[in-house]
Amino acid sequence: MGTFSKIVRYGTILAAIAGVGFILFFHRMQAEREMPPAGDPPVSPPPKRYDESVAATGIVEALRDNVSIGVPQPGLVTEVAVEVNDAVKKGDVLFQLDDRDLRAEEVAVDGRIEAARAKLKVNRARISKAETLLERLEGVKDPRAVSREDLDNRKLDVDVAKAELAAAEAEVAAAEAELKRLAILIERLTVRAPRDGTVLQVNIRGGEYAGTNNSSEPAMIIGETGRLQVRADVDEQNATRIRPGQKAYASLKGDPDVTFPLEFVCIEPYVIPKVSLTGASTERVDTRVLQIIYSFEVPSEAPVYVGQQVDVFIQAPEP
Amino acid sequence: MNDETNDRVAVDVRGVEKHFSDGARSIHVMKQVTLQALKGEILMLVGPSGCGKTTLLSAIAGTLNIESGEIDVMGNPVHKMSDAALTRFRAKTIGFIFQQFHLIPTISVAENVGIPLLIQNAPKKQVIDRARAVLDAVGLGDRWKERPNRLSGGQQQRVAIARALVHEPPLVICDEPTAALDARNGEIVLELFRNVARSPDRAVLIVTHDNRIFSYADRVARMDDGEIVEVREQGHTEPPHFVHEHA
Amino acid sequence: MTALALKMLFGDTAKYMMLVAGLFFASFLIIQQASVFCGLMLWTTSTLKNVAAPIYVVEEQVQQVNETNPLRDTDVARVRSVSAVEWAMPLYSGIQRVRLEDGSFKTVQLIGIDAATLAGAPERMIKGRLEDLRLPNTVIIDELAITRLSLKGAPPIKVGDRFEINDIEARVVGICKAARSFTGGPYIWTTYERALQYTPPSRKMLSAVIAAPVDGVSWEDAAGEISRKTGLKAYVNRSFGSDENDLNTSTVWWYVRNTGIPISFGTTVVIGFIVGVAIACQTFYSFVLDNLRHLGALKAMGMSNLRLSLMLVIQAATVGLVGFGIGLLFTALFAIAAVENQQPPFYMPWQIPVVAFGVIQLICMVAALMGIFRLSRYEPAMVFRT
Repeated sequence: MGTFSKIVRYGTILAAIAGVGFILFFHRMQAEREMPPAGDPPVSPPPKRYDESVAATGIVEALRDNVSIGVPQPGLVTEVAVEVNDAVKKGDVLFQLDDRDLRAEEVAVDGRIEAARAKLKVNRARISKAETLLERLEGVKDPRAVSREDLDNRKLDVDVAKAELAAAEAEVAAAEAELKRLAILIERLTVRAPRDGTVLQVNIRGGEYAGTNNSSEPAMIIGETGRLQVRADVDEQNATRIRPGQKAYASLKGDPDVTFPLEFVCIEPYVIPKVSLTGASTERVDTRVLQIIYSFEVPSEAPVYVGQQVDVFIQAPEP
Repeated sequence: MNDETNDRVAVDVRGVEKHFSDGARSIHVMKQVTLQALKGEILMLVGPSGCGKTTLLSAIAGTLNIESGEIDVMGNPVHKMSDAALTRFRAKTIGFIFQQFHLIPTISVAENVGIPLLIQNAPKKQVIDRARAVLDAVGLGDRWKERPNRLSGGQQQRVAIARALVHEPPLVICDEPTAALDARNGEIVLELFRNVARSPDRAVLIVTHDNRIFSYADRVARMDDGEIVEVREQGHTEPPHFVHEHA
Repeated sequence: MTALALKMLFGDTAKYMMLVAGLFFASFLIIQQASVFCGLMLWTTSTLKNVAAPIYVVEEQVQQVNETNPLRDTDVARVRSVSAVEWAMPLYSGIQRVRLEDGSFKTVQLIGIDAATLAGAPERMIKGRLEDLRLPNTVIIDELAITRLSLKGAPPIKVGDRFEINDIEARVVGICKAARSFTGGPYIWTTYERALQYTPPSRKMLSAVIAAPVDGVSWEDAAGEISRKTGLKAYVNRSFGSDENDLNTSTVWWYVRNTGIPISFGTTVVIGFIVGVAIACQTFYSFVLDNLRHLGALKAMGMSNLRLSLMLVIQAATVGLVGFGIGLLFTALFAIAAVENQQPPFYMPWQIPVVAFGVIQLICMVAALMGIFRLSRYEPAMVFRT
């Protein structure tokens, strides 16, 4: 047997064994490069609390509708009594409009009242004078000493004086009524909170001119932030599963750990086209959604802001 | 044939018929062939080419089916044995020496010699030991590791002899042992063969047309045209050229 | 006997080499081509590997992951509403163009994932932080992007570099490992909302919803539940297999049915097979013919047909083993180079070498059978004729 055939024999066998080794090596290398199998996402998604539920996306709103505070009449703002985030009680002063013109008028009316009251005094004096004269004539027993005509004149004088007093009294009352009217008008320029809440937005500052144009922004927005509400969009295909009073909870879109229970408020009875909440600027999809309103207590562990997106799970049996 | 000789009969061929068809023609190669080979003797089957002697040899060796007649080899009815039984029979009973030796060139001399033992599933160690012993006997003990084709024709023939004898078969069949050798080598080999193969319990059957070696036989059966025409007894005289002694 | 068979085989160096070479060629061609094909098919599902979610929910008619019909935004909530679903998140996947600073354009595979949970985020970050994806105008790129998006002659792109996707700025905050896409473009991750900004607007943008089942529900059951409840098509995402509801399987079959890829690779594999059969059978047959005299002599000397056949089988199996082994060697070298280079596609599931081994051995057995048949027709008497 020649060297060549020896080389061939052992060479081929060695190469074959090496081949098995290399292929096993490659197989391991390939396994290492393989992508890991599907696992949980890096941040765990909001947990499901109910066995059967309808999921929806929602947006946080202030409880009920926010109150846009308007201005009673155009005018200059003299003072703003609250700041954004201030809690206000019903009747608290929010801001004050300029009332100097009304106060000036008040001063004039005050003068008129003084004048009328002086006139009243004159009239009263005149009555007492006329009555004194009348008594004196009636005191003369001798009918001839006093003519009948004189006596009648004196009586008429008293009546006239009394009528003049009544007129003067009416004048005083009118002036006082005017004063009250002015006070009410002045009070109107002090804008007060229509209900308890938190000032969400202030759009006026002292010294600004506040108009009553409806299209412009409201002077202030008062809402409630201690309790908020969620407007949840349920796909119309899942709408049949929704009933009033179903339990629900929500978790914040950015932080699934913040989860809070919801309290049913109402179902908006009109199914509307979905407005994309997912960040895209334009509405692109012609899905219609049923909107359900829930209220909730703001969780203490993390702030929740009006306008934030939430994932909502509504406990609803499967059909 | 008496009972005494009957015990000594190794191969008993009685009335064997065989035709070969060669296209349209049918050739009658064995016509009522009857022949006996005895234990302890060397029987040569001679005759011209195509006389049917190789066919007879094949039939005796159990490698060729016959049409009629009977062949008994060491008491085995070869003519009615199944293929599997024949295979086993050949492996055990017969030692073959082919005209072209048919040594396998890719294995060593000793391995070649050991093949009959290998066929009988002898353990590997025993095969090589026995093969080397037989090689010693034919004078090639020191060349057991070599490839057969590194040896001369005579040496190859000796390897073939060793192979035929390694499993100590009761019948050795030898086809034209000198055909591949020159005259001198042929005689040397034949002489060696006669020395190592001849044994009281063994029959040796040689087919040849080489008349120079007839003298190595105990008996010579002449065949012509499918018939045994003559069986000549050579007695127990020593062959004339019994001069070369091999170590 | 085994030794005898092997010695006869190795003794004929020329025939042995030819046999081994033929079988090597066949096994190399079969394994390598089949693996390249599998690699290419795997590329088609790379989005599924890179966004490793258990369940993909797509539009009803969608059959493969690279061509999706967009869904409506609220479908995320509908999938989430199915009780078997633990979580469901939106996914955007699409091909977009990136403009580099020198003005050249490159296509990329843009992936948009949910910003809060980052579900579907790359699993293997190399540089940067995953959480930085929540910063404005940020993206995470894969390794391929480093070469693809780097400017010629400039240092490779790194964390903090910028480019533009559809004229909107994108800042790299991370680099990750990712499976390569079929289209050859690198994978770029961003948040779902930003992906929509990067993408020219169209009516519907949601490519798929990725979801996971609740504990105790199998992926398959959950997917079936989603399909039933929403009317969308939910696929599981395990790996290519027999399950038609696996998106990997479905995607691969889509490519098999709709492209010429399997035909071309299949042809090569069949050619490899034919060449292997031709060379092996022809050579082995001539090997048997060459040894016929010896084999005939063995047969005459009393070796049974069974043992002779066994010898031929051993010889054929041996050349098969050696040829296959050398084929494996060359395949492995090719494969290691391919994987290091990420090109050409190469994926070798264990079935390929196993089946190839079977095929090669089959070829050898056919060759051996031809030899056995030839030998069985060889009458032992013929040894006396020559």
